[in-house]
Amino acid sequence: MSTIWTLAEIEGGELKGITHELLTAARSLADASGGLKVGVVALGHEIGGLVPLLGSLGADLVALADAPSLANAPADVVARVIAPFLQGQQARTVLLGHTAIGKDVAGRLAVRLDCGVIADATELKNDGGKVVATRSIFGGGMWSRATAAGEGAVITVRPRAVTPATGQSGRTAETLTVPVAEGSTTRRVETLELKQETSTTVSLGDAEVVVAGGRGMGGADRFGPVETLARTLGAAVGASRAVVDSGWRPHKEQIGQTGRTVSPKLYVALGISGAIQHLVGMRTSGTIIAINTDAEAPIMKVANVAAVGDVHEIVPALVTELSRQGVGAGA
Amino acid sequence: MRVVVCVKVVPDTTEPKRLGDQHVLVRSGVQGAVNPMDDYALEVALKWKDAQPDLDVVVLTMGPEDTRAIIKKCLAKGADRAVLVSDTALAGTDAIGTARVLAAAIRKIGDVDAVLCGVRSSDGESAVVGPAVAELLDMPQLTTCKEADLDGSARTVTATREADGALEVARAGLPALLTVTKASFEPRLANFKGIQAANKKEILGWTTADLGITPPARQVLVTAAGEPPQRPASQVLTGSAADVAQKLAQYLTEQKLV
Ligand SMILES: Cc1cc2nc3c(=O)[nH]c(=O)nc-3n(C[C@H](O)[C@H](O)[C@H](O)COP(=O)(O)OP(=O)(O)OC[C@H]3O[C@@H](n4cnc5c(N)ncnc54)[C@H](O)[C@@H]3O)c2cc1C
Ligand SMILES: Nc1ncnc2c1ncn2[C@@H]1O[C@H](COP(=O)(O)O)[C@@H](O)[C@H]1O
Repeated sequence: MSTIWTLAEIEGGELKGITHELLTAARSLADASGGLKVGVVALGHEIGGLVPLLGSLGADLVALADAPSLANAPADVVARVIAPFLQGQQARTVLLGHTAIGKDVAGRLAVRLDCGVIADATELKNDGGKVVATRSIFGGGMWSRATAAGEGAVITVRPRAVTPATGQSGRTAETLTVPVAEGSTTRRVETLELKQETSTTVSLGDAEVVVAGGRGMGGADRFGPVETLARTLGAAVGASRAVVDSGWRPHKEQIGQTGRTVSPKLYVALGISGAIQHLVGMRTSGTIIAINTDAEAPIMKVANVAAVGDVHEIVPALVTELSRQGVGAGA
Repeated sequence: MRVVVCVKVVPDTTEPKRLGDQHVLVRSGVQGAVNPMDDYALEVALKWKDAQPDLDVVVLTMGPEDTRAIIKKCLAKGADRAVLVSDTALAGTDAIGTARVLAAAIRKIGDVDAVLCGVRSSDGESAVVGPAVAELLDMPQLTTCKEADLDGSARTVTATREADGALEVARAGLPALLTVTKASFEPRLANFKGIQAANKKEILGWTTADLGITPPARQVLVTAAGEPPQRPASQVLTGSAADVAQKLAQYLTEQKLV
């Protein structure tokens, strides 16, 4: 193997959490393969200040593509700029986040590098010099392990699947420059408008805790317990398709096959039966708690803790109990 | 103008899925359905066609011969014709290989102004086929679109798309590739007239030889697959609401989840 490369995600001049996770994963792969290097490519404008942080997070090489036109560059530009550089470095394994931009870049980059993509990996291991990725398939109903048939692959890593290591302040990285060819940054997509979704709580994709409500809540105006518990736990609000289809909640909150896939540390399902299409979107959560009047509901089988009873009675009591313990106080 | 919609036939999610040889999903004998996201992609194209009846909507799929019956449903909804790329050598093709085959077919269809894909397939779950096709055809991409307008005279497509917790309105010049997510509208159902009309529509069958390509070599190997480790059996809490709440709070604190 050669250097394990990753792609940094930067927002407002800061590294996004996924970058820490990718560097942690790359670092442990590199160390397990007997002293390989970890490289990170960062695109943006005036991002040189991030080098020490990237170094402390585990990068040996920080490759900067720095140009005004590269801040928030679209996927086709990212692939066009980094592919020739990675080829020059004889990169084999490239780790991206299974995030909005990571997914958009992965396919394009793999075409340019003439390799395959392993998407949505939840675990990476070194097996005799090859990177083996574990992914959950069929909505967590099964897992599979995949590896590159040839020399390398682009691998997207599910956010939050890797626990980021704390940085080591002593580590330093070597800085490289990614040549930016004339014309390679030309944009073919133009943003006309950006509407920040007015989300009252944490956004679903990044949430460590998700509290989701289903038809069992009983109506659009009866979602109070979901929102209150979410506020207490600092959680994002999720929903089943049944309630989205009924217009009780917006589609952006839908979890499952036709909604989002989430993998938080804690998933709380309130009045959700746990149909397979819902389980697909949350099964890999760390801990699952379900509250349901029906002890036989499918969600109760996948839950770590299955609380039998009425959400409208249990949740208020739980919130009182938690705030008595100082959880969510002042939130 | 011409639009290609990439449609994948996936195992119906209510059917149990099985892995066969080399950990490849067993597709034959399994009830198939159009991948749910692709249904939304088709609906976007059909809405364009409602406004512009001479738009040529071509459904493109790669899969076994027995997907014909399901692809016919897309014709019944209003697509003009379909192409089925089927070749025994294509069984088990990975995502980038699939993109290479689809891109070759789109080139052969010719004069394509826009390509629509689903965001992801319910069985592949990779969400990479669309962007890979766009790269192969050197098209810009707009991903996770919820709705999109085609402007034939300006030769642009403008889409409202989900972008990391925000909604973005973005525009790309044609030809362009869009991936479509669950939209705010429901895909139409086929009516009787449509079903009749579908009988007269063509489903072209192409092989890799017809496309002038060799079947893409597999670049990803699946080495193992299995059932997930059993979660520890659920801890069931029953009793009065107050009791249950108290035990839940205790669990959350003990497990350091709060
Ligand atoms: C192609 C396809 C795609 C789909 N995609 C998705 C998807 O992305 N996401 C998704 O969620 N679904 C999806 N579905 C729908 C899915 O099959 C289920 O219909 C849906 O998840 C059910 O939602 P629910 O659990 O809220 O409702 P129900 O199944 O009606 O369950 C309600 C639950 O609430 C419990 N309950 C009732 N009252 C109370 C109370 N007072 N206190 C506590 N519990 C109570 C009941 O016991 C029951 O278990 C899809 C279906 C299809 C066919
Ligand atoms: N075999 C196929 N035939 C036609 N379209 C496909 C095929 N595989 C994937 N696609 C398209 O690519 C999208 C993303 O699929 P995936 O990358 O597998 O998640 C799907 O929603 C389809 O639009």
